[in-house]
Amino acid sequence: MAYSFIELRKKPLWPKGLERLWIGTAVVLVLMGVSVLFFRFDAQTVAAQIERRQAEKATLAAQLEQLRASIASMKDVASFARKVATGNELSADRWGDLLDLVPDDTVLERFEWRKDGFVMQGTTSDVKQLEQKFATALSGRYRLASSRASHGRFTMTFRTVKERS
Amino acid sequence: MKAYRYRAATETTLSLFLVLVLLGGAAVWGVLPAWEQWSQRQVRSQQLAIDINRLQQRYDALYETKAALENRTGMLAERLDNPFDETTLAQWMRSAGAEEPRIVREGAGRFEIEAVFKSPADFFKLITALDDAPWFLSLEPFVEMHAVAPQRLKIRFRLAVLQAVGRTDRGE
Repeated sequence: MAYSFIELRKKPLWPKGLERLWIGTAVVLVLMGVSVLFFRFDAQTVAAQIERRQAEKATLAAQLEQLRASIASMKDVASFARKVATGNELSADRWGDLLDLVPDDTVLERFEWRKDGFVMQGTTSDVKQLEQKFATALSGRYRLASSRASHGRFTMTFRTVKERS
Repeated sequence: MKAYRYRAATETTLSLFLVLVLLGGAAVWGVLPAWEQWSQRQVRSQQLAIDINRLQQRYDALYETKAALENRTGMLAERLDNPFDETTLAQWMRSAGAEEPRIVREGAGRFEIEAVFKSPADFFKLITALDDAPWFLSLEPFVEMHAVAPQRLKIRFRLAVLQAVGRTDRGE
C-alpha cells in the first residue's frame, strides 16, 4: 500500500484576486447606498429650506412693495406741499409787485386784485404820471381799462391781458 | 491543467463584467438621480438665499430713504389729515398777525376771510406763514384792501383748505 504525505489541495472556488474584487464591489455598493440615503434625506431637508426661503422672499417682496408705495405717497405729499407753497407765494408776489409800483406821493385807499385784473383807488399828486407808470411797467400783462380822476383822487381799473393761444 | 486555466479566465471575465454592470447600474439608477435632485435643490436654495439677500439690501436702503423722508414730510402728512374747523383757523390767523378775523364759508373747503392788518407787509407775512399752518391752505386770486384808519387795513381774501381725499372738514 502506497501512502502519499502530500495533501491534496482543493482548487479554490474563487481565485484570490476575484475575491478581493467582489469584496471591493460590495464595499462600493454599500457606500453608494449610503450616499443615496444621504442625498434623499438631505434633499428633503433642502426642500423644507426652499419652502421657508420662498415664504421669506414673498414676505420681503410684499414689504418692499409697501415701502415703495409709502415712499411714493410721501413724495406726492412733499410735491403737493411745494406746489401749494409756490402757488401762494406766486399769488402774493403778483399783488405785492403791483403795490411796490405805487409811488411815495400816492396814498391808496382801496386795492382790489382778482384773476381778471385789479382796481386802485386813492389820492396822488399826478394822476397822469401814475397812469403812465403803471401802463409802462405792466405792459403785456395788464391794460388800463378805465381811469377816473378828480381833485387828485383817482380810480384806475386794469384788466389782465389774455394770452393768445 | 488546461481546463482549470480556461475556467479561471472565464470566471475572471464574467466577474469583471458583473462588477461593471452592478456598479454601473447602481450609479445610473441609484446614485445619479438622487445626487441630481439634491444638487438641483441646493442650487435653488442658494439662489433663493441670494435673492433674499438682495431684497433685504434693497429694503434696508429704501427704509433709510423712507426714514429720511418721514423726517422731512411727517408734518406734511399730518397737515393733510388734520381735521379742519373754523375756530382753530381763526385762532391761527390771530397768532399769524391778523386782527378780528371773520370767516365766511363759501363752499366745500373754500372760505372768505376778512381781517384787519397794520400794513400790506403784515398780510404778506400771513401768506408766508400759510406754509406752517395746521392744514394746507391755498390762497385764491381774490384780495381786497381798504384803508379804514391810519395803520389799519381791512383785507378780504379767499382761502381753500386742501385735505386728503375722503376727509371733509367739520360743519360741511
